[in-house]
Amino acid sequence: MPTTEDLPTRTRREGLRVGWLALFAVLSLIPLNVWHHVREPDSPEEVVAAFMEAVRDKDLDEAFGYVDSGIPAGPDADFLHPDAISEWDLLEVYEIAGMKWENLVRVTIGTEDGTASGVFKVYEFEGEYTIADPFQSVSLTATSYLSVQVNDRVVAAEPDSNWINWYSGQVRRTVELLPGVYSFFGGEPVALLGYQEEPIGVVVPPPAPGGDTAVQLQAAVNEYLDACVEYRVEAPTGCPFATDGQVDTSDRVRMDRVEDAAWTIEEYPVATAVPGTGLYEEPVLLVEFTEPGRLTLEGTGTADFDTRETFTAACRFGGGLLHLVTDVDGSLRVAPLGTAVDDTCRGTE
Amino acid sequence: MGIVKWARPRRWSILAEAVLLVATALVVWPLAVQVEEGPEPVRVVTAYLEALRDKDVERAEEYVSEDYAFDADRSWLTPEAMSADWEIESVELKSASETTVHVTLTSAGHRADGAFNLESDDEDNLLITNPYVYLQTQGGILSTVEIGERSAEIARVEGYPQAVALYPGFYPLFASVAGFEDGASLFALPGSHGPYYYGETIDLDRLMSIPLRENAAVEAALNEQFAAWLDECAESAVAAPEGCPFSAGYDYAALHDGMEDYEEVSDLDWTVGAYPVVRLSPELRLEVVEPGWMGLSGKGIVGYEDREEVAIDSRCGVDVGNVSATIGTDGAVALTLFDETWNSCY
Repeated sequence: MPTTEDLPTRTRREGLRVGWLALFAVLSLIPLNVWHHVREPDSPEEVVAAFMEAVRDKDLDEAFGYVDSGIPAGPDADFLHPDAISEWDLLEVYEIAGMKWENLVRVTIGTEDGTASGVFKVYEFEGEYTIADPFQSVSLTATSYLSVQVNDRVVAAEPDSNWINWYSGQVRRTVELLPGVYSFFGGEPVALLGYQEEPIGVVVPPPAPGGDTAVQLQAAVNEYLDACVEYRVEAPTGCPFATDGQVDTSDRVRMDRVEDAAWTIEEYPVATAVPGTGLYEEPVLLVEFTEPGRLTLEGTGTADFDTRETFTAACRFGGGLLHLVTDVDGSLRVAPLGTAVDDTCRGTE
Repeated sequence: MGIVKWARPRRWSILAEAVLLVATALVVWPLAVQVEEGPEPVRVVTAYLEALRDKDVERAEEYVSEDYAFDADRSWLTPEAMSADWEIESVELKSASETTVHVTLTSAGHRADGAFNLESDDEDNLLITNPYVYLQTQGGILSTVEIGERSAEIARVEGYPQAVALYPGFYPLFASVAGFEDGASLFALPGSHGPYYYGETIDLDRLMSIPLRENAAVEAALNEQFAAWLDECAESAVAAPEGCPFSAGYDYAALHDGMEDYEEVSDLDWTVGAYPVVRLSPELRLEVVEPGWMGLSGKGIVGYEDREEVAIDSRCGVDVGNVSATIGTDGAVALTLFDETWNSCY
């Protein structure tokens, strides 16, 4: 049956219908919003529980939302990452003391290896509760590694201008972590949670020598020495050989004021890794030479302080200056450690 | 045809639609604004970054707190020195703290994550307390720095190089230097290189050490410059050629060749015995790979009693340790002496 209603009237009614629908859609946000607020934790216990559950579930955005302080950024946040969070259970959360603006909440977490507890501070402001700086600062001493590994996350140490700068960086490499259970470089797991006044120190031992360590070590040492003899100077920086300017030639003549030095490796030293201590008393693997090898020094010098002549002298490699480091891909490298040797030529047959 | 009156239902319908429209607008508008611009700290940081993108220094500085500013060279805080070659990926509050705003910037495959701190001034305006990144160099080879499109000498106070204050942004570094056309760069953003709390100082020497040492064109240029310098110096006919990295000069004689003192020298002739081979050390100083030496011939009187004229045939080392390498505003490397060259003969 054809309608007798005018077209504009019909259009307006349809528009009105759409309008009502839009209004209901918008108004429905209000109860949702109310529900959201109702669900938000409104006690110190609840906020800490929600935070720990979010960390356990690796939902970092949710976890950060309960934190009172700023979140680390850039390299400081390298390990605020799901891969750095291991599996653990949240066992207990309860308030142990409270003041008007600061509350203390004890948390217990556990793995099959055991349980651990810590206390968080919770602040209250205008009915909202937030957790005071829940981050766990760990000062790692990891001078045998060119990377940092926390649980399953490995981050290469940023390249530095020289070995000394790199070494001083790795002696106290501070990493920021969320509360949880952490293993550094595959070591024994430790539980870190609760409000922390000072960073926790963790000394990472060098890796235990594996099956092909000896082969890799010798190759790394040979490569290092090849780079050293490129320098035609009396004491190449960071190298385990040097002359102090006085050498005894193969004809047993003492030559002084050595110039025009040139080094040639005749026989590589036989290298082995032995446990030792680094510059900060931390455990390292030192490179020692069980056979000192042999290298030749050619140059000019004077025996009588009147004439200068060329000479050839036998020299050896000195140990104790180098240590072993493991690169991010697991390969071994040799790095200088400590003071240089003074002279490895005189007294060499 | 008489006057057409509105039917009663139609009038109510129009009124209801109008009320509905106003009610909807009242509910949706604040929500839309909130979603679009975010909380106040996010709005401030976004506005600051957008001003930087527009190279509008005056507008950017409206969001800057000077309370924590370092004593630094501010001559790079200009539209000419600023970088707009980057995009804002995100600006957000990650935690319940409203004083820390996290930012991610991107630029052609590069990315920087950092954070700004904010605090209120006396008039309750939120201001950024770490708006700049500071670059510090010891001055050696980087006595002149090229950041983005600007190249200038490092300012000094009582001889010490001043830190350079830089707006956040993506900057090519030393693009005029051979080998760095698409090479070194800096994504300057507080927090992206280290702690962000009170402003961040980046060690430019450390940052540039590996790129400069791995730049074969720079090493080649250093050695070419050195060789050309020695060739020029070899034309001198005096014992201590001025401005040269070798010398046979001596305070107590006309010439000393490392063994003997000579007086009344003549026919002096320098030749290059061996050009040195140098490279940059990790600290960006010149280090010797192969030492160079100069041959010196001529005549002179030796001895205090016989005073016999003899031929001089000596070697003098090239004193690389007394040579400073610098990169100029044109991107070319230049070699100069730190100090007067002492006798280098042996």
